[in-house]
Order: sequence, then structure tokens, then C-alpha cells
Amino acid sequence: MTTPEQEQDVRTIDAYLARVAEGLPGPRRARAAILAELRVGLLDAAETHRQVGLSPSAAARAATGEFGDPTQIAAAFRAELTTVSARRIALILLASAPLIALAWAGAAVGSHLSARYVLPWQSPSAAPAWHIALPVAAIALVVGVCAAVAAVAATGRLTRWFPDCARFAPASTIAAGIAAAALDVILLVLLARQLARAPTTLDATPVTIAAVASTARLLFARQAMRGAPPRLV
Amino acid sequence: MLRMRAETLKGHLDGLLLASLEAGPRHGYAILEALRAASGGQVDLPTGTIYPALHRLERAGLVKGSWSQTGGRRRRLYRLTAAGRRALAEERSSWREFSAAITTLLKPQPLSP
Repeated sequence: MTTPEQEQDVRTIDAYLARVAEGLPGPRRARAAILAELRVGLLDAAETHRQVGLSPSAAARAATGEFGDPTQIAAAFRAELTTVSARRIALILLASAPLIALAWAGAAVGSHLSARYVLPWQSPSAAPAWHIALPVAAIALVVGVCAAVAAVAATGRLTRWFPDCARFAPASTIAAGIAAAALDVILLVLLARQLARAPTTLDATPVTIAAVASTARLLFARQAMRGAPPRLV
Repeated sequence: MLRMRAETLKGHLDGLLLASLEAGPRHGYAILEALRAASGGQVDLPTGTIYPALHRLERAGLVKGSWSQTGGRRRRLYRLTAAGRRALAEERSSWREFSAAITTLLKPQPLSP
């Protein structure tokens, strides 16, 4: 269907897109969608130039020429992808908070009921560790929730009123991730301590669920900070 | 004739993009054509910059993008959301106030005695 000249036209456009792609990390699907959208835009522009009499290759060059510097287009999308990613991670962290809280509350209540034992922080022997851990955990919870809410708010409707807000979203999400990780580490350490000292006081099923939930979130927080493209740090 | 360059447009691009979608959903290139036609060719910016701007507007909930088959190609169509319509109305009224104030300020003043 396409003439050799039109193929040349498409090659010029694809070479341009390859330069945009170079500067575009990010989840593969998001990246492919962006490139597909840009490609149609370029093909449409080239077609318009052909209709007014340019040769296919001149039309493709005109289309890519007026499109702008590919590195700048990539940079604009990169910033946008990072913001979207920060928002998504912050939303997941926020959603995880009540679930993890429920799991640990279940573990505490379950252990209390099945072992007919006082709640962990009421046990005199356990007091010092709990007295340090609980305030730290409470601070981590408040900081984490505030940071995640700030990240979500800054990347949504607020963007219009405060366009610069979104720039702080990745940092805010990182703070939320660190707070969530700290909270999970504290809970798991307290659990390990209880397991070493008085394993009979723990109800296996709810405690396992809580431990698995916290470990999963810990791994998610770690991956969000390090691995998942586009990286936040 | 004075052309509106990218730096002059900065800060108004969002409003222009929203305005170009007021009449109905459009894809990226059609938005550009609408901007060019409406401004008599005065809007002069690297055309690729409207795409990240559209994605930003979508994240802010002002437009909604969806893929659809139009004119033999798969295109991403953007439509205004209710919040986008409100934002456009606000953008309009604040621009009217701003331009009215500047017009008054720039009006030739009679020399004071």
C-alpha cells in the first residue's frame, strides 16, 4: 500500500520518536502509549504538509522540525511520568494503612483471646520495648499518612492552582514510603521479640496474616524507592 | 504581525487547550489545528509540547483521554470533564479582568497640567 517515499516519511518520524524514547524511562506500557500518541500526531502533521504540496520526505522533516526538541519533549513526559508514579505509590500506601492496621489489630486481639493473655503493651515484662516502640510507631504513622495525603493532593486537582506543588510529590511519597517501612519494621521486630520470649501468647493465623501483610508492604516500599521505573530517587 | 511565542504562551497554554476542547472531543493534532485556526496562525510553539501538557491536564482531572479509531488511525481523543469546564470558565473570567486592567493602564493619559 505504501510507496517507497512514504516509507521514507515514516522512517524519519520513527527516527525522531526513537530520540524521544531514549529520554523516556518508565513503565513499558505508559511509554508505548505516549510514543503511539506522538506518532499519530506526527503522521497527521506530515499528511497536512503533503496535502499542501511537500514531498513525503520534506513533509516528514517539516513535521518533526516543528514538533520541537525530542529531548525536551521526553523531559516533559518524564516529569509527568514521575508525578503519576508518585501519586500511584502514595495512593497504594494510603490504601494499605487501614488494611495493615486491621491485620495487626486482628493479630493482637486474636492472640489475646486465644491465649487468654493480657494485651502485649499491658504485660509488665514487655514494657520498656513497647514504651519506646509505640510512640515511634505513632509518629511514623502520622508522618506517613500526612506525607501520602500531601503527595496525592499535590498531584490531583491542586495542580491547577499550584502548578509547582507536583514537583514536591516524589519527595513526599518517598517520606511516606520510609514512614510505612519504619512502621512495618517496628511491628515485625516487636513480633519477633514476642515470638522469642513467649511464643505461646501468639495466635498463629492472625499473626501470620499480619506479618505477611507488613512484609509485603515493606517489599513494595523498597521496590517503589529503588526499582520501579520511573524511579523516584 | 506579532507572533505568540512559546514563552509568551507559557501560563496560558492550559487555558488555550481547554478552550480548544470546549466544542467537543479532539485528538492532539486536531487541537493544534484548532489553536492555529482560532489564532490566525499566531500561536507558534513546538507542537510536541501540547502532548505532555494534555497528560498533565488529564492527571489534574480537567480532561479525559481515551483511545478511539478515527480517520483510519488509532488516536487518543481528549474531552473536557465537568471540572475542566469550570476551570475554563475561571480561566476566562480571570483573563478578562487581567486584560481589562492592562488595557486601562496602557491607555494614553492626558498630560497633567
